[in-house]
Amino acid sequence: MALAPHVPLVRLPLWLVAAWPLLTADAFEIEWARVPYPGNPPDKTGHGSVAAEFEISKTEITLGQYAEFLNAVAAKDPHGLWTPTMHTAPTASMVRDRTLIQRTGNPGSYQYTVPATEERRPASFISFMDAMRFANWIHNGMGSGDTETGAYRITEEKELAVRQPGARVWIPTEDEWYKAAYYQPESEGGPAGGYWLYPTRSNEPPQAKGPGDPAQNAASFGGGGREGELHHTSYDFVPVGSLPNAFGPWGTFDQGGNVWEWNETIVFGTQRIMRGGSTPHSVDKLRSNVRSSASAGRKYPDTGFRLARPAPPAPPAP
Amino acid sequence: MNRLHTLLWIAALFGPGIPSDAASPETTASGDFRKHLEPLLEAHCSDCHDADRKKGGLNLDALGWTPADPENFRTWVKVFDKVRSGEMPPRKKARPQAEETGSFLGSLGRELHGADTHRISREGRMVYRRLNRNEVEHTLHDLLGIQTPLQELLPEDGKWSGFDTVGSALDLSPVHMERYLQAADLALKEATVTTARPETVRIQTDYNETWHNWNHPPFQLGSWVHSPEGCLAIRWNGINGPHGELGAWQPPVPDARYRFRFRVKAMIDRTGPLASAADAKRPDRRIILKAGLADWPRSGLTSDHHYFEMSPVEFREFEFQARVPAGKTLWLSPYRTVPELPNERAMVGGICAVVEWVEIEGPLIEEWPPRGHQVLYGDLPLKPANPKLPGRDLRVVSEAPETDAKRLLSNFLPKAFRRPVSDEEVLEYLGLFQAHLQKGRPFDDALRAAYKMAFCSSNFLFLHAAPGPLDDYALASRLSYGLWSSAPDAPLLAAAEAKTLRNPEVLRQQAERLLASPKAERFTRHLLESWLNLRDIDFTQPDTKLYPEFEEYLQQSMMAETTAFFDELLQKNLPAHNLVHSEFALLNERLAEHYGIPGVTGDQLRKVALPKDSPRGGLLTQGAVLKVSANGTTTSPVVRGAYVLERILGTPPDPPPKDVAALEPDIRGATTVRQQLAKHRNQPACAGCHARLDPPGFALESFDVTGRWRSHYRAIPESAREKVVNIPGSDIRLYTQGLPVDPSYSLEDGTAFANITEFKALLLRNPRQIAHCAVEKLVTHLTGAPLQFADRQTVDELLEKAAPEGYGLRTLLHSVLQSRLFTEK
Repeated sequence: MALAPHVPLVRLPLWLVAAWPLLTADAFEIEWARVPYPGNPPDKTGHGSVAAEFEISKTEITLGQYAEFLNAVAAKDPHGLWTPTMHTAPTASMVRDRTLIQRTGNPGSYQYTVPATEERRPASFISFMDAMRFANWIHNGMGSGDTETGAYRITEEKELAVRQPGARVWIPTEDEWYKAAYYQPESEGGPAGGYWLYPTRSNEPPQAKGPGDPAQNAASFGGGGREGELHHTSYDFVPVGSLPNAFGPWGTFDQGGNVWEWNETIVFGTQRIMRGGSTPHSVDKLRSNVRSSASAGRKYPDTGFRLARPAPPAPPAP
Repeated sequence: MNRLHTLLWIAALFGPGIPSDAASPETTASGDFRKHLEPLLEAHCSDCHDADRKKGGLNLDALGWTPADPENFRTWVKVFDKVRSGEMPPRKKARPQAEETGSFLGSLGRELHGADTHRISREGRMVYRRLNRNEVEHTLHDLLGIQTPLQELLPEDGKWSGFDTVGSALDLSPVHMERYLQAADLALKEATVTTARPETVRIQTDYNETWHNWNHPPFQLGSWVHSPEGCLAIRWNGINGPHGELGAWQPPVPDARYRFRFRVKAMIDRTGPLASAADAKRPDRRIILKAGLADWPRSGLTSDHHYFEMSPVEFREFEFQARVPAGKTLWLSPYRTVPELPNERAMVGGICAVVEWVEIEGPLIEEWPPRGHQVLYGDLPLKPANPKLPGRDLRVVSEAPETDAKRLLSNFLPKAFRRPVSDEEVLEYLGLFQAHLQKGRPFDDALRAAYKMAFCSSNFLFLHAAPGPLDDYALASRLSYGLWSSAPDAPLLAAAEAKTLRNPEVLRQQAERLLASPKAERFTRHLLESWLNLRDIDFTQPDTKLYPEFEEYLQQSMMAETTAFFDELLQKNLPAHNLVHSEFALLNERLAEHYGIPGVTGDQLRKVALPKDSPRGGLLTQGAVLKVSANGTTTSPVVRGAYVLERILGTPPDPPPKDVAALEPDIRGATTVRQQLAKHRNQPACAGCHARLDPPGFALESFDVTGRWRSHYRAIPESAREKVVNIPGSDIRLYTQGLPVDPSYSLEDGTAFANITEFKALLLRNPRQIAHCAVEKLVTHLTGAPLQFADRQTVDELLEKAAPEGYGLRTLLHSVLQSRLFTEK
């Protein structure tokens, strides 16, 4: 998908220009990180053990990707996949003065556009229900059809929908998300016990940094207290993957900070796990023992998601 | 009390050859009777109480003998009591010989007793009594199985000497009737099923969703941090801001009962966004959790508070149940730390409640249809008003409306009226039903109209009794309203129907059965509200500058202490003198901290043996009594003295003269109340009353308005440069140490005491007086009428019987219940 043409390039920040090849190869292309070591042990909290090898998207789903989804399936938008706060934040301070996804047209012919500066930022105001429908859309080949079946059957007990056998893509379970973020066996250079405390291959809290910063132990979160740190006070999410060296053990970006990410796992009733913290929140939310949760229908200004899928067969050994 | 005079009076009144009921207005001519009194009145009274001087407003020259006139009767009783107690003639004047006094008291006592007995035989001890609003609410709750608050709909009741059960103070106005109609309407509506049985569900959740709901600009309050375990922790934020309300839950069925369980742990936030340098130094401590209900999402104001002690070491589970109105949700908040070191202050800075999970179960349904619905509609079927909406807007339907209505009214009216009803009475209410039915009202509406009128009739609202012995049903009602503040239950009505209730053993068994019920909590609560004026515990709030350590949890603990203490005396039948002094107290850690008693940990009240040198023990030194007998700023020996005389010793002082201004507290601390009072009581006109008022008042000066022990008064500093006092239990210190407290004084008879401990020892010399006061309060509460002159003989008899075992409180209660004061109108 191309950038929206009405945004002049001269307004792009320098870091975006520098990262242009990475960020614009194909706005919709999802890059995947393979998470090996099936049957790995859990950590002492009981999390992180996954029986099968799988892949997880390297980045959070972006506004550009979500807008493409909307343009495909939400001409009428009966499920409320778009929310007015994506266009106009309820208060000026809630989300920085910008439009995330603009909707135009009338019911049956809605169209969705994203300013170029926002395309690579993570989708937010996304409920778990929205995320499941997005996964169904991918599962079903990204056409204009069904969002209610596929990876998830959302036709009854909607908020309790479970992953269907044969799902080609899904929202990671808590263990999958946790393993991708924190697990690295000692033999691969990981810490004693195999689990990092933070998703930046570190047991030390990351520093709050802005796009393009080369630090390994960095993330987009509230910060503000330490030397050299940024101090995020609003929802100034960074473009996904824009801290080029701050990746996790298996190559994922932003599992700590930027937006809270939905996990498929239900914790209570219709409440699903959320992990990873977000830009306006403090560094402790990035720690492995912090989990949050909310009802599947809730949309928050700092919550998005990433996807997982089965790992393709490993290439034959040379 | 002067024991000699008492004995003389008893001997004169009940001696051989003088039957107690020998005299009556009809048998004694006033002239003859006055002849026996004249010598003493002439020699010792007429100087001050003649037509010229009329001291104290009493003119004996003009005082005739018309005992049917209540005012005349009261005046003669006052004369009797003043002479009997030795208060009159004044000590400074010539005293009559004992024989002279005995003769006077014998003559007057006989006449008064005879006149009062005659009145009671005609009218009964009590006037027709209306149910007070507590009783209306409890009765409707018990009968209809509802919990809807109704009291607030009803006008406040009049009181006699603090008691809201006394018939003469319970008037009835058009406003009452209007409010009764509203309350009956609401109660009947609440008791009527209109939906299918709601499913009782149990959900588990946590505060994460609440945190997400609130923790975004502009609501990013920083009131939440994560614990090392990764759980969300609610941080005290110093205001009733939006924190601690559980946003993930609303009552699926409003106004139903729910059980809340939660697993929590104490934590000090030392590194969160709000943590200060001071927070970083705070040690781990147990923290009190405050739990209740709150409006969502408007504010943190809560109701139905509960307090639990959290450990900093381990998660603990707690639970409470509450009726949850629409729009309310669970509210949890850390409240204060529990100090653990000598002179350590309670902290609120940085305190957190780490919440692992919350479990909510409800609506809790004991039976379906609920008991009230069955009482009102029997087993008649329910059908939806709109067949397309099954399970909603259900209506009770009947294929034979008149037959069903008659059957239901015949079943309902005896329960509402607490007695059998005649066919004519049923037909009267059936007529009401028919009238509404003919106007086109649905069956259940028409039936409710009849029920509503029954609830607003005198048969429901008044306790009926004819002069003389109560019939079995009236006795059943008196017993159940006395001990449960509610209507008799089925076993009690069955005993009434079998006409066995007047059998003393059956009456005792029924009383024991009622006392063993959870509803007996109402007896203790309502009795103490009246007796000790505890219903006014919230009337004043201690000045936050002078008493910063005072807080809600402490007040709640105080109230629980006094209630538990009374229950302990009643359960164990402990001697009534414990009301003045006991070797034990019922304490939790907060109270023990406030009282300075070591070795008590935890939030649960338990019986604690008091240290030998402790001034505590008994009602007099309990926080609730000390708070309710003071105002928010200062204590007054006069007010507390009157409180003790009236409520603990049963010898109320005369009302204060109208032209004497109350003492103004000197909050700057330049003069003590003793110095202020000295000027006042040295005036001859004031000295008499103050000789009785001041001793108990000064003995209690060692306790401040919060019930805390004090050696010095507290004062507001006149300038910021004055050194403020750092005392344990407070984060804020805004007062200076004032002048020293001097609790020493002497009784009216000149016996000196140095402090409260010595004062209590002096009171314990006369345990009968303490027991007498307890009996007086029990009689007033249980019978709906204050103790009367003709009752004195009965009270003396039951006290004599109870004396050998030290006037056990349960013995006294049963003695009252078995006495004619209780079993007759």
